[in-house]
Amino acid sequence: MLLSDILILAIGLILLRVLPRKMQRKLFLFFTVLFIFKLQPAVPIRNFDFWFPFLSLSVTILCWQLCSRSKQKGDFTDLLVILGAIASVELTRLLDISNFLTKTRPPQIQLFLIGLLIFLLLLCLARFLRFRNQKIILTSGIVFLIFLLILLKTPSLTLDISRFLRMISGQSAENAAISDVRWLGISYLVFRLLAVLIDTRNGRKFSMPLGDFLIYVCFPPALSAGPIDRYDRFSKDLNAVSGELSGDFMAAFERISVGLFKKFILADSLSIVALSSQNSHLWIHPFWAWCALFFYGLQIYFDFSGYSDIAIGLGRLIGIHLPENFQHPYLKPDISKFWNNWHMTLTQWIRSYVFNPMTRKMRSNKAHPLPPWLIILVTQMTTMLIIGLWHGVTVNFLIWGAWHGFGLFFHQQYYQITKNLITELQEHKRLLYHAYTILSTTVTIFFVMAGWIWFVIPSTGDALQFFSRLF
Amino acid sequence: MEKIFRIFWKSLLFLLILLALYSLIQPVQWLGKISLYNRIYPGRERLPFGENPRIAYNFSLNNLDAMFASHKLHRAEKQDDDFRILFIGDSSLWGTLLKPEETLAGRLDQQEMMINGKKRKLQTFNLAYPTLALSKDLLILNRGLQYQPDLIVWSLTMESFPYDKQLSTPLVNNNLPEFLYVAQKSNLSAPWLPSTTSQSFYSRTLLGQRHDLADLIRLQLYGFMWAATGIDQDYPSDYPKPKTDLDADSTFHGVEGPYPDEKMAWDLLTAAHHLAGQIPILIMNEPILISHGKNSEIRYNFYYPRQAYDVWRESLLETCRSNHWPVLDVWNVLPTSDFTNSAIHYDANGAEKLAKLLSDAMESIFN
Repeated sequence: MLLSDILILAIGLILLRVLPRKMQRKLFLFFTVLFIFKLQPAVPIRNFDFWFPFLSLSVTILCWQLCSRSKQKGDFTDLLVILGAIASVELTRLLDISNFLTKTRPPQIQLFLIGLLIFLLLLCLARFLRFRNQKIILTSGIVFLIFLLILLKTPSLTLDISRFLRMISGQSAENAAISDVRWLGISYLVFRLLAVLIDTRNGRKFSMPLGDFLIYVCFPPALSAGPIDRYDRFSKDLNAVSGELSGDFMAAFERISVGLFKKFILADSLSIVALSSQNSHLWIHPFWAWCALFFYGLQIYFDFSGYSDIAIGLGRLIGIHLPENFQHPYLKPDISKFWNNWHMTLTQWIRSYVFNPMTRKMRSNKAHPLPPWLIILVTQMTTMLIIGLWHGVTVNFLIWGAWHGFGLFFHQQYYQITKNLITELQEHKRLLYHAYTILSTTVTIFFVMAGWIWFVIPSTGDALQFFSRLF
Repeated sequence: MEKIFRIFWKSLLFLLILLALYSLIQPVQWLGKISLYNRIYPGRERLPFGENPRIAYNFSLNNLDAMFASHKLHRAEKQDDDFRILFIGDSSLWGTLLKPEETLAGRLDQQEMMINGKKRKLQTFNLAYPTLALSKDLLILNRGLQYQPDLIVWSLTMESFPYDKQLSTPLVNNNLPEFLYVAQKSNLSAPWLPSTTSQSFYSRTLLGQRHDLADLIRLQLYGFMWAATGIDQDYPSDYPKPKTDLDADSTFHGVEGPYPDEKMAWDLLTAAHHLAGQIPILIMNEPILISHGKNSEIRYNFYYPRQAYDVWRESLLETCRSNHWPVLDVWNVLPTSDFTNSAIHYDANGAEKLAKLLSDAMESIFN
């Protein structure tokens, strides 16, 4: 998000907040749709700064159609509002206003109508299918979303997608690049949709109105970098929005200011001196290499937590209390606590939909019971590998995930052995306990920082070479 | 809502007071002197300049205080047997595509030389700056003189002489009040000099100076990269070679034949000597690429038609002779193969050959 986007978003949300409640919801929906287009970055593939947001909206509505038991009259009106907002974006083509809602001119009317027609046909199909073999349909939806994520996160497949999209857009496939497929917020959008599909498949009743659901999934402040809220919690806030702004305004102002400072002053400055794939081989002394590595760790923290602060602050402007995403993770004394405080909403999501079901399943296997340590190893490793792969299907992200998976496993084993001793220190020898906490925090921070090497350097060889530069 | 408006007005008032104070204090002028260079990071070997900061770990800014504070000269100690030489000039001397130690200044640093019968250690500092204008050299010379040099080596070429380049060069253009002060100090009264400068109100505000302030912070941040990598410019593995097949064009800056003396800043040479006072200035007519390709009978290279350059060179030598200024004319000493990406940028080999010639010239001047 650019500073100008944040300012427009803040003004828009304040104006929405003070509107009469009757108008508020529909205009909020309209505004959300417009902003998805506004935030989408430019892409070199013709018209795809329009089609990517269009696809995000389409996938969201189709998922809602598959899951929802909502029978409100308002859903149809919501659909009309959404289509009206999309049509408004398309109509900016006729006004010849470049860079107003989309980065380039929207597609030709005929193309837009074809896209719309395909979407409406799919919507009818989803409506027709939703009461037939719902479990199979929902499973197919889950598989589709995971497949989509794999396509977009695997560099070679993303390149193929770019080639394909360039071909259908009449552009040269030779110039295809991975960076062509910059689909705003797709990772977060997919995780929000997956949560609903999985819950519904597991028998949970889902009756969120279409408009609310779309606002939840595509909530502009949290679209590009989270946090990943839960739909039931979000819905409660959305329904409790009042016109009284003053209390929220102060909190929002403070939070946004902190976020802007973290993102645009600290993170952007640190990006100059931080370790990167371009400079990993340039450091002339281990001291500088360590500094650069720590600067990267701080940069990614301030960047990400700054965005979260901005999103949380912007949410407050409209009365939505987005969940916290970071709570001083680098000051935690062990890797387990680090992960409980780093990108918390993603960790909680993975815990809810991967770790817990897997652990339950493995523990419930009474016929061939597995030793507890193996269950911990497998579940923690799987969880961390998924988190790694969520950032990109590459060897180094996989190693990064495994690095933390092993870290969590070893910490768990270590904790089992030392927990009595630590409790005794905590209760009777406070000074020693403080010294222990400082030491364990230091060890944790070095472990996490060393792990970032796999994260920031895409080539395994270069990452190993950088490790050697540290000593 | 009332509370929000109250906060809004208070914030606005606070902001206005802050902006007014800023305009009055003008902190950017003294902030430039505060530097992490020479304290936490080693000083830079050459003045900050760069067009691709993310790769070069260096960039161009206009704050002379900050530029000098980042240079190793700023905190360099001078021992009794040190012979301090400041090098001023353009990009060829600054060392485009050369590592600091490969530049002319870098090659001569720490060498021993007999000066006036005494063995002295050369302490060289590269104060060249990659733009072609004598006015910028005068501005830098004035700053450099504060650091007790024993000799100034001024590497120059014809392209730095036209009047129209003197005020348009960014460093001078953005430091015009200081340049006018230097001009006055050095008795320079050229027709192209403006009598006064005016600064708009906006340029004195925080908004108007936001880029200058950001530059000061960026300079400190890139200092980390300079210290950690030793890199201060982009070293591409491949670059376009200078043209040796030239157009059949015999004009220099649109003038056919010899370029008129009255359109050239000869007066800046006199001003520089006036400014330097007793400190000798060794003028070096820097090497140029002499092409042997198409139309090479008309032009030496992309910059210079033969006739205009020859006349200018004669004038330079004559001016130096008549004023008893030491001069080293090395315009044709380097073969084409010693040039890198421009007709005036020489490579490490070229710099080594020049270092030898310069060293000989200095010995003959001082002994």
